[in-house]
Amino acid sequence: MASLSDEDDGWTWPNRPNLRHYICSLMSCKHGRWDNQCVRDKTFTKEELLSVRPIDVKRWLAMRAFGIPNPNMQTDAPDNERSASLSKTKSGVSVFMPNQHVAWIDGRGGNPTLHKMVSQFIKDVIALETKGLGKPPNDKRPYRQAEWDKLLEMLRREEDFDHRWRLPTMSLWAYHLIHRIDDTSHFNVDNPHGSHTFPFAIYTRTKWSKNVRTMKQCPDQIALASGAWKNCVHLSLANYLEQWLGMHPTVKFLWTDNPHDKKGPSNVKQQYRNRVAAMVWCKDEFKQLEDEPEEHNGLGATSGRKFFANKAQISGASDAQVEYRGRWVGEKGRKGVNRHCIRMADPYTDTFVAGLLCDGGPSNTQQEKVLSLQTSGCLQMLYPMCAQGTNKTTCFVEFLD
Amino acid sequence: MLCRILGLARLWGVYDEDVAALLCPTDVATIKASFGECFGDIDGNPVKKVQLEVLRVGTRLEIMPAVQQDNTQPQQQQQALAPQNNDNRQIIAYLQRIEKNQQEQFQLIRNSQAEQKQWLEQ
Repeated sequence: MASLSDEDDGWTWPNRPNLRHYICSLMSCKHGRWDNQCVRDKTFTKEELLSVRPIDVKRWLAMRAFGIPNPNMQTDAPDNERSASLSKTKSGVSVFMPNQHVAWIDGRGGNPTLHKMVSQFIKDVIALETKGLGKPPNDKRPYRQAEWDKLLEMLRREEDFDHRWRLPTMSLWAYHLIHRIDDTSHFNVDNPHGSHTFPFAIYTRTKWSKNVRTMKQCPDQIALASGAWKNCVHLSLANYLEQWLGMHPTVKFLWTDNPHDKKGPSNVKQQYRNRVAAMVWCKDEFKQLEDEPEEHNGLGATSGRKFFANKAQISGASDAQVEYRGRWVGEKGRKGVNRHCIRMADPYTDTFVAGLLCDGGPSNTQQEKVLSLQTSGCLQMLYPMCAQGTNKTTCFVEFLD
Repeated sequence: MLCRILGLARLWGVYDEDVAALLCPTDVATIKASFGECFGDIDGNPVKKVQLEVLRVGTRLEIMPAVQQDNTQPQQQQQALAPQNNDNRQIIAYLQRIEKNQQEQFQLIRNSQAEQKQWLEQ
């Protein structure tokens, strides 16, 4: 077992538990143990890692894609793994290389994953994929508008709270913030908040996206009410939250009553996917909306986000504006995206895209006429649980007066 | 603040037929009765939705009610000019600050000249 630190030059074993299986796979392949790979929690010394050469990385990628270390690109096909997956695995081992940020120089060393031989190999796999050879893609297609509307309709048709309120509200929350559902599932119950600048808007921060590393990358994002009630996140959240807090007055998370920081959001994400699959995707009523069956891989967990982003673009947002709202970090070399992504200085872009995603246009709910309220009794009746949650039992007096 | 937003949204839903059909009938009846006790019978929905428009004014974000098609012409012009007026106000304020700084500098120069004049006279 290697020590975690080489004291001489300060190099330490990177603490990346989610990527550790990649380096274990590479080192096993290098040592001829492809069929008997080392255990996942094994660590390697700096010397062991420095002994990895570009040809080792290329052979390892070839093993993953073709099943053989030296494939013939004219006759063999990458039946096991696709190029996108190979790029991800290459990045997965790159972080463990002691000279991670140094390009490989023959005779002197560096990061073996940055060698041209490796990148050329992945390009060759892409070329084969383009010809239709190798493993077919597994990506899911986006929803269509009619399918998205049908999803909300079918969920709301059910009698129970989960299907009628919780899942549609989760869906709308993800829709308006251009989230994947696993980002949505992490919200705490007290994350949504108001603003004195725009007292008709809800603000929140997405702190759990994989692209968020610092507080600067999770600025307040706006959620506006929609003119069409079926798409209105304010209306849905209001009714959901009132019932949710009634059932769980001291709940921690917005969508699950499991207070465990990891298991709670993880379970609710899987629960959402399973319920939607069972209640919507599998039903004939939903399948009838498909106009090109068998031409794609169907719908999946990523279909929502693709649809939200597409819809914002169709409505008039540019790529950069959608990426800003969706908190995306671009690929390496795409500086344009990085420049646009996740800045606090441009609330207009965030609000502009939020407005485009509101069916019926963004709207403000106002009282029809000024009502002088003498008692807060009816207001407590209207929204008692949320009022208790904020310890402001007279808040309705404030807003209606 | 959040209660205010969500409370209005819920109240709108209670008085909307489609949304009320999704809510617990007891809740809807109770809220309507309670609201009616305080404000009497109300025709239609006591909460209205006003369409908004997102604008960029200089570097600032402005969210304001959308201009309605049936508004009178002067109102339309006034609302259309509002962002421009905001820009103009910022420029005027900036120019005023420059002018004030210059006045202060001139005053300092005049003071020093007066002191020199006094010294020469002595």
